[in-house]
Amino acid sequence: MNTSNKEYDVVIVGGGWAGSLLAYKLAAANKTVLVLESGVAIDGVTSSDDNDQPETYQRGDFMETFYLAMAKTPESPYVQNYNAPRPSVLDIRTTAEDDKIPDNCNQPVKSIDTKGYFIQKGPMPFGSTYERRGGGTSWHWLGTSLRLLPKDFKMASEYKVGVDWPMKYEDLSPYYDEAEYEIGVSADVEEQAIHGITFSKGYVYPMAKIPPTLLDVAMTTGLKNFHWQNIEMKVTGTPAGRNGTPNKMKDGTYYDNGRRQCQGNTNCTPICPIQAKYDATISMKKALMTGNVDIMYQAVAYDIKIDKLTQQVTGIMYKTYETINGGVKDTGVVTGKKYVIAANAIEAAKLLLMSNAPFGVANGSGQVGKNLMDHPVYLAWGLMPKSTFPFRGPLSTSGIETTRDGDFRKTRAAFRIEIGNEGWNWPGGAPYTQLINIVSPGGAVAHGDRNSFGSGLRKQIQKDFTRQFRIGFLMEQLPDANNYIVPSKKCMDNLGIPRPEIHYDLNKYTREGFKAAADAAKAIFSQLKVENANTPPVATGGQFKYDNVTYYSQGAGHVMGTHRMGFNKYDSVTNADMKSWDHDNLYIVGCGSFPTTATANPTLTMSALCFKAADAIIKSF
Amino acid sequence: MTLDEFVGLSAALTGYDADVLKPSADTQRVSEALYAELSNPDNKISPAQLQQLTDTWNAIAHTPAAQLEDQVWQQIVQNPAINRLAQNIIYMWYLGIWYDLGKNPNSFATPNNDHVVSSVAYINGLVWGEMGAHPMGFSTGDYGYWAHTPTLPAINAVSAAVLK
Repeated sequence: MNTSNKEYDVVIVGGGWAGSLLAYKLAAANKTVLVLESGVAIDGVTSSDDNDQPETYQRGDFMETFYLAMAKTPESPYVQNYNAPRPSVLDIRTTAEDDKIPDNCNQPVKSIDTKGYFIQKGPMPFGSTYERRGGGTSWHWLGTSLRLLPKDFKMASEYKVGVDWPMKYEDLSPYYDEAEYEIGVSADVEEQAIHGITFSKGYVYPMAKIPPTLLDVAMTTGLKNFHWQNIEMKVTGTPAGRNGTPNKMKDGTYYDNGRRQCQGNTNCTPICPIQAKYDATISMKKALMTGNVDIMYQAVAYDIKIDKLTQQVTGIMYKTYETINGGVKDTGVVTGKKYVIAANAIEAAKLLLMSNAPFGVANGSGQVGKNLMDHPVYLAWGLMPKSTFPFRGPLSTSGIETTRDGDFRKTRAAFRIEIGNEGWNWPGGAPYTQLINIVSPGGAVAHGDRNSFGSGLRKQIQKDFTRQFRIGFLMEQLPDANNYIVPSKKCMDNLGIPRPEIHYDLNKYTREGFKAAADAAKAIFSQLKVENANTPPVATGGQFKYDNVTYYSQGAGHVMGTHRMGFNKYDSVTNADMKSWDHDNLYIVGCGSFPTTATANPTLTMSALCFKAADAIIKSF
Repeated sequence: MTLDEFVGLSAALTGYDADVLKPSADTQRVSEALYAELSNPDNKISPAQLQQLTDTWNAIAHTPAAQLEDQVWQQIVQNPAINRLAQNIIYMWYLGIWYDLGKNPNSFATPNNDHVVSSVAYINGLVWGEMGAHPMGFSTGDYGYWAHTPTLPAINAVSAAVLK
């Protein structure tokens, strides 16, 4: 693509979730936009004048790779790109192992999968991952589209922990509406009006709530009027960014986004085979169709140019590559009137800190890269007394949200409880591990018992596998300057760009949350008469001991906090419009904007924030 | 081992009738894909072991359905010389995976030759239907099917005969 003769209004770094929404809204307001995307192109999501995409993928390619993958991880459908590498859950390792990374760790082609992309300095490994390709991590998001609670915006003033957001729930509410309609969220207003969530008058979600699974119904019935620590453990439907039954909107027509209804593939993560679940390529495609947007794939931003006098951004330097295994092909610079960094929170912070040496960009507060947060997940799993038939329906359709707010937040992390529809798949490698354990009890190669084959095997699968269930507790994490990411000084990727060096731990507040979660799980299991699995998880993002109990923590894939919004330039990176305090024409968007994590899966809120930023950018012209 | 012998043995090991594993109108041809793994040199199958498994199977293949599992139990499953290979046939049918014979299937020891036989083998894995479910990432259900209780497949004494 020839960009040199074009004058863009806005240059966006990152063609993932945030970048796609921004591009779409800016283009609809007649702004011309160039998107730099580090990863490979998605078929049909390219600029009209572009006949020269060296690497193009489509959903079918990803599905085939997924089917053939031994470990069906979130990354499994997506081939590693050694020029824009991404972390993998298979690479989450302890600090001790990472200490073995040699001084000379520049990664030659094809070695990152065994060493990992992150340089994990610990003490705990950071357990979450993301994608670097057209559409970004939206390829494997779960679809959960919960709004934050009003009190989530004021942790400092309500509970004397963390910081307040520089906005109230009410400020974001109209942008939530906008985001829910762009994504196409299926949910029920009445059911979501919990803990003071309010909706505009007459508001309806685009689509009716997704029907609950048999497990959801069993939990709803089993936990009716059940209280744990004075909290009613009420099961409610989870708003989902996947297609259900269209609602009638205010103008009398029915919502229609042209995509199919969910077929219950139980595969939202790592990939929806039929795009019933929203992903960002949908918005990017619409953005491209306006004719106002160009997208340049395989262009990795590595330096943000700053005018020393005006402190304005003057251009973005990027490197290109020919194939996912090759090296640098070319370098270039793109310019626009305004700039948006819309990369994943870790990549965005890395880019800001790599640029404008030695100060970094947008870093007057010293907060860039700091306050790295996730929703560390505590998993509990067991066998229900009766079959509830997992591996059917979307991955998750209901949860318990009543645990998300309360006075306890003064001393411990809140959590939400997600009900999983995929049995022991996450913690126990189901159904593979359990089947092997029946066919080859205790790993014995020599013999199995009478039920290790034939009708005995079949009976055991029908009796036990159909009762598998698990719940996941998504834990709040407070902003902490000791949890941070910096560009590695010695470890580079294939293009010679620094890899992220991560320093991470779970503090007492979050660990108290794990302790409470374990207690809540015990109470729920007892109430439901669940047989506890009582085994450590096969996959673990990290483990720690607290009050003499060992806990296993999983990454949620929710990377937040590295360029937080705030009230002033001294302790935050951007204002509430996500505009840099330091550079008048630079915006930084994405989950990195979150001052605190709250407990809701962050994507919907991130989308609402993107629309808010887009409004501000449009008004600034 | 011939394809027919493989399908017959597979029926006895999986608990599914031979004509389910290899239907007369076989559009998926799963049995052929799995059978081919027996002659895949990467799998490093001992020819002697394969021959012993074949011979053992042929000796019991014509046992009446009601007694067939007892024979499989006594002659194959309890025989450490051939059961590991038999287990792999079960894994292929239920999970679509060939597990490296040189290690415990549940271990991640490397290097190993664990692999999904093919996307068709994955999609046709028996474990999913046995649970009343579908392979993750391959549902043919309609919207909302998950709200209704599935019917699990009936379990009967199997017929290992291959329909010609």
